[in-house]
Amino acid sequence: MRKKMALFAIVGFLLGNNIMAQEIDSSMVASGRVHLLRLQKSYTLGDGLLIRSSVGSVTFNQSLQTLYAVTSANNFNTTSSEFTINRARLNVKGDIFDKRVTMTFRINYPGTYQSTTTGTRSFNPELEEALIQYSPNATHVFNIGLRADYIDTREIRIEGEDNGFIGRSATSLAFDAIFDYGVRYIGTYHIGGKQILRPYLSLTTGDGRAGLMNNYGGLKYGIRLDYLPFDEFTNGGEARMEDIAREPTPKLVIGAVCSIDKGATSAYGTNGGRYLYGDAGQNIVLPDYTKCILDYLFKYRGFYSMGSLVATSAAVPTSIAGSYKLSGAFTPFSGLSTHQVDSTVRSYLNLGTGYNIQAGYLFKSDWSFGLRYAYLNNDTYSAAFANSNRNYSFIVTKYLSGNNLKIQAEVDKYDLKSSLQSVNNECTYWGQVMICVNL
Amino acid sequence: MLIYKKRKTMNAKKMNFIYVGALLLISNIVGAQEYKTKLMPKDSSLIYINGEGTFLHLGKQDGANFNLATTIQSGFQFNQLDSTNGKTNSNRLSLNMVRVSFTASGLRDKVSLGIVNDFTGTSGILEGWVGISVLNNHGKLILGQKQTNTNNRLAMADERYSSVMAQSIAGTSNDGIVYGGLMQNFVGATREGGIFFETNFDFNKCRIYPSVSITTGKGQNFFSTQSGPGFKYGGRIDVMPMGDFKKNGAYVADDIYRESKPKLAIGVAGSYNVQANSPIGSANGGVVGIYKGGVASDANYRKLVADAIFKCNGFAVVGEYINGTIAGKDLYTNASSKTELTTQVASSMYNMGSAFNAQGSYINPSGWAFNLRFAHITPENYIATSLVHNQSWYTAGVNKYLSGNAMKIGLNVNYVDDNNSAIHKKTLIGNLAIQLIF
Repeated sequence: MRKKMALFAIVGFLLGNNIMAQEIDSSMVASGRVHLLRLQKSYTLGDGLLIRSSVGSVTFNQSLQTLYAVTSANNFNTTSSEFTINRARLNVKGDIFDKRVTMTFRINYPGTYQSTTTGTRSFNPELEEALIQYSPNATHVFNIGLRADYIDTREIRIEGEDNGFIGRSATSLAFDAIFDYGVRYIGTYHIGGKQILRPYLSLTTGDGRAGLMNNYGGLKYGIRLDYLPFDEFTNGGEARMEDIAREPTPKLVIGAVCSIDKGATSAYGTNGGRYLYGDAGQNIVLPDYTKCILDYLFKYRGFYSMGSLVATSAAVPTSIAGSYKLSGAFTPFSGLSTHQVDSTVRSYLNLGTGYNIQAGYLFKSDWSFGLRYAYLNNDTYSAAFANSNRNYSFIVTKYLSGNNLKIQAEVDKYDLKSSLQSVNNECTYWGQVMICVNL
Repeated sequence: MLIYKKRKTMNAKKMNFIYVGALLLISNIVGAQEYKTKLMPKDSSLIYINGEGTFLHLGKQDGANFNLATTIQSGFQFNQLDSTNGKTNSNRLSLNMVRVSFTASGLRDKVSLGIVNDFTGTSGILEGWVGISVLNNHGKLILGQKQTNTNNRLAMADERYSSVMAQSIAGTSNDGIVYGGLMQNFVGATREGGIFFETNFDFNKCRIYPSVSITTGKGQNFFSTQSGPGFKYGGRIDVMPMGDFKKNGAYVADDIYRESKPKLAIGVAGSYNVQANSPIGSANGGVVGIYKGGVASDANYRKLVADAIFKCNGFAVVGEYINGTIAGKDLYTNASSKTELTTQVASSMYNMGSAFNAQGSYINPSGWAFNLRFAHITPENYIATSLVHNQSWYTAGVNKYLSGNAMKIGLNVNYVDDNNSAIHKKTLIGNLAIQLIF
């Protein structure tokens, strides 16, 4: 009642002067378009600035990850170091219609302008999310827009702020497109007992953020099927790496993913428009890129384990007769056999296999320790993404307020393929310290 | 009697009035001091208006007002090109618009500013301007990058309220659907950096909005010294004989605020772009091969606009005409000054000709809107390489507005008949889009 009176008083004031009589007229008030806003009374780190009205709410959330790293590629004969803003993200989330319609907007300030090739193919990678989502009920969710996709490895289901390691695994970096624009469906089906089946359907550009101004090639079709045998994770723990909720009973999700990018124009879907091919008539002809994933996440009493297995392949059209240069000029593959053309096209795609397995334990003192091993293997004809094919990481984290304030220290060892090793260059060592704050 | 009223600029218009409005308007009714003591809100306040974002008022006396609105428009486009090679179909998923608008005013509205971010292009900044009230609050002087006042009415509209939803990339459009169809041939970038002066007044129940500007003449996002000496000089006047529209309704194609009485606005604008080095004078570079006195030069680009909008009870009609020509003496196509630049040759360097757009719409009280558009463009001269071709454009669309303008879902179908004598192209474009504003 008090709120209504306050609204009435403000509207009365607004209508009490000419300018307002025009800008917020009686029909606007009668239509219920003007709403008092109030700040959320309580605040816990990570909640963000939340303002509510009778029709919905808007949340502004800022996160920051600052990083110091030192690295050596020659057994510490020389080292180099860096101070970096790893992420500085502004999130805006809004909801209306009883939260059935939501909007998410996110920019990451350290993103720098990139040009995949030239002209209109350039893009601004600061934008990471721009999504409109509709949830008619608890079972079905539909969304359209830009976001981290569901058809990448399980690591991508976890925001960078909620990651248990400073960076993502080598497997994820080699195969995950991460951000893409498209239409998606998520279903949650209870199939008896505590078992849940959660299918994801995804129809995206296949070009990543580079495709926001222009699409290249055909679309990317993907499906993920997640099975949760022991009910949902506590407090959204399925989307957080470490077991901060300390699951009292075992929780598991197993997922299988398959996607095909009909007309791939980049190595693994992040940089659409980068590689374009044509037939003898210079009509665009492109390879299809297929990716399959098996992954899991397990949590129980502070312990977690996660793993992903990825395999990719490509179908290269035999009609490819040349490629488009960055300038847009067409260059025929003169003198190359069909097999050589095929291997040339494949040499710009990340083709092969990889897996990542990791585990960690969070003590009740909010100290945690984690280990990660990732392995990559590129096909004979593929882009050289697996030069460092064995990657080991160890991390110590002190959680001061969950994922909203934490300090992490990580050491990594990335072994070069044996064929690439030399006396002073067998592996690369990394040491990193990061502070993560989520306001 | 002349009564000054705060100019409803495209970006400030939804801003300052929420609590304080134009102080001078009110000072015609009550003294400023009396206004402050009687009408100012007692405390800082925060409200939300569906489709217009969050409004914050801070302070009691010379308080500041802020408006923050975030917009996302997702879209899907189907395109069928029917040309010499037969029919070619293509689809595009795109973010039609991703925009964060922040506007503010303070010192009793004497200073205002706007920062508009748009993340669909390569640069995140779309607008950045500061406005200062001058002439004892009877005018506003604005320095910065904003929507230029010398384009057609629909290219001056806020894209968030466009009746035909389609992709815009940082305030420009590849196909022109958002900005009046074929009128796009004379628009290009809708934002320009420069200095703008705006005012408005009443004259016998007739509201008049005059404005003038000096801009780069080279479009938007000019962050360094501009090449070439020429600026663009322009002006516009809008006359509303039946009084002012609700809010910025004179620049919104659909009658989304449902005018209860008939409202009409008639506008005329003109610009003279000295040594324009791009085909429409809205970008930097693109025209080469013109010489004056043996030195590389450019022609001057003139643009004339006339438009009108009528609204009543959900019905809206928009008519626009635009004409682009060049001017300049002693211009040659070679350094030796032997071959004079003709309008035929110039037509392959500059967009020369005229276009009109006529469209009508009806929105019912429950938020369903239906619109039709017809546009046509005619070249001034035509040779095989002319940039402007004879084209006709037909659009039919439907929109559903939800919760005010907070959510909008739109579908439109456009048919463009490009009757270029060399290649006759027919293009069918369908757009499906959904937009949310918070």
